[in-house]
Amino acid sequence: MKQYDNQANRIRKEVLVRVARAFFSEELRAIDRIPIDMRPRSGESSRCCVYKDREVLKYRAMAALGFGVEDETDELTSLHEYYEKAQQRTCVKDIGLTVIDIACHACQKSRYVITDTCRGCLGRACQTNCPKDAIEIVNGRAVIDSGKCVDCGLCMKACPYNAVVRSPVPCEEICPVNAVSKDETGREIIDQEKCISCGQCTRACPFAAIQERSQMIDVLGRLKEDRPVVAMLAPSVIGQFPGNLEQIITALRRLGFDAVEEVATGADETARREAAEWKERIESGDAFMTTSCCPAYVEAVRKHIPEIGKFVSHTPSPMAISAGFVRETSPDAVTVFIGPCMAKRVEALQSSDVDYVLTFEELGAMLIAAGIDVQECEAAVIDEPAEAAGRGFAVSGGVTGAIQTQFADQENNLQPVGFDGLDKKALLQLKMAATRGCGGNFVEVMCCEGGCMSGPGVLSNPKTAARQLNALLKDS
Amino acid sequence: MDKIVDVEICTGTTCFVMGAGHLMSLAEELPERLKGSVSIRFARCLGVCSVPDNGRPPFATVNGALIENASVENLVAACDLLLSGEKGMNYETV
Repeated sequence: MKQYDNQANRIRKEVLVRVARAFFSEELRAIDRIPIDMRPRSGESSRCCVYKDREVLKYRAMAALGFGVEDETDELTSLHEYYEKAQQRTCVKDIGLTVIDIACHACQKSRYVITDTCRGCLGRACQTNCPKDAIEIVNGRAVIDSGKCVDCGLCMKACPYNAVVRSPVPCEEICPVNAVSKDETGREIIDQEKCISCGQCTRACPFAAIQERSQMIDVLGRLKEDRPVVAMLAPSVIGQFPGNLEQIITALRRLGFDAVEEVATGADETARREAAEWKERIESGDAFMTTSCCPAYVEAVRKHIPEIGKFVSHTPSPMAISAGFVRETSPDAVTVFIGPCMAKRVEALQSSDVDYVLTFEELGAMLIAAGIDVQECEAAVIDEPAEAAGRGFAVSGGVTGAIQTQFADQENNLQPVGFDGLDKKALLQLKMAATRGCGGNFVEVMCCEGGCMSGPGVLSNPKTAARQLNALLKDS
Repeated sequence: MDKIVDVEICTGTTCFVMGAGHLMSLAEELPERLKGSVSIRFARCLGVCSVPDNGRPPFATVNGALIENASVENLVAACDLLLSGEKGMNYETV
């Protein structure tokens, strides 16, 4: 499982915290100071100089305010002007990931490189095995001619000194749908036609050059208004904050949310409906059915593997069902989904029931800025706690488990298959499944390896979070 | 008996969000050489993040010395430093 904690990630979080602080301080100009406060003239720089760092930080703050580099028409526009614009926004329209071009390192194209470990040996297995005659010996060392190299990697396998390494472009490497590529300057651009908003690239880039447009300021603004605001907490919230679920609920109320709903309750309903749908489909002769709760997978199907579209469940996701419940009981409420996922922003944009989507990272920044310590909060009483099955949706295998629970006391021929993480290989297998099947009749697909607990917006180590979830499930 | 280094990690909301959430599994991520020589505790809150001079969260202490911007790497480095210093003493006393 991937771990997202690194210095680049922490800088991004710090910007979010500072933007939220500026909101609470109500001192508009404080926001203009963020780049200077984070990189004072006398301090150290991460790049060539503090001035470049400050420029990058300005774009990070813009993203924290919901704007991409693409929204910049005049470089002189200050952060407080963006802040004012953000405050006037009444709904979310733009959600595409944004590449901060000046932060992008323009990594060299993925390639094989021969390192200093090369001994210029007599065996020259690299040269012998290269099918394109791309390796020369220069000054007693092997060198790859990039013009001839076809990236087959045989030299790397052959070298007895492990002197050949593959130098990847991390964002391109992780993207399952080849949506990230270089422009003519060598910097990365995202093809929005291909992008499934899984957010993996935002965490893979060691320079944190790819950012999402935050909706934090929008939500903070709604919390100050009179309309009721309802938080819908994803099942993967377990382990994302110190303290327990009951304390997190109180913390959200202190932030200004009028009500807090467990999306796991929606997940319980998703499981009931999806089980019924599966039964109906299999009985009517369908070869299999795949899950529909992962929005990045749903986007991947729509944009890249339409042939499997008819096998995707029509049951609404837990978020959609929970939002529907909220709309029924309080039609004028503002609904905010809080989870680990960036693709949920796409699903929310298409749904009239979900107004905003926050990540745990953004919620964390809001709590820090508001000075709310979760462990100091008293435990709220959860009137109708979700079932263990619904809470289990947060990890890979959880949806399958919930469906199995539905059929626990009846005859069934459920044959589950799981795709734990959507990479290029999994996409290909799913594509082939449309015609050849995939060895099962219930197919769970999770874009993030490990499930939502490994989503790009998490704050905890997925392993420890999963352990806490398991402990809770025993009590649910 | 071998010396034990005492690591205490702050789990206040600020520290947790800024990175301590990823340090909850520190015990598993320790290199073999340190396993058995490090005791890890999680503090409710060390109460140091309100003073800017203390540095950036997440905070931890290693044998009482404050570590800012705590990470697996800098905590392991601090433990190594203390243990290598103390091992010398141990050899004389054992």
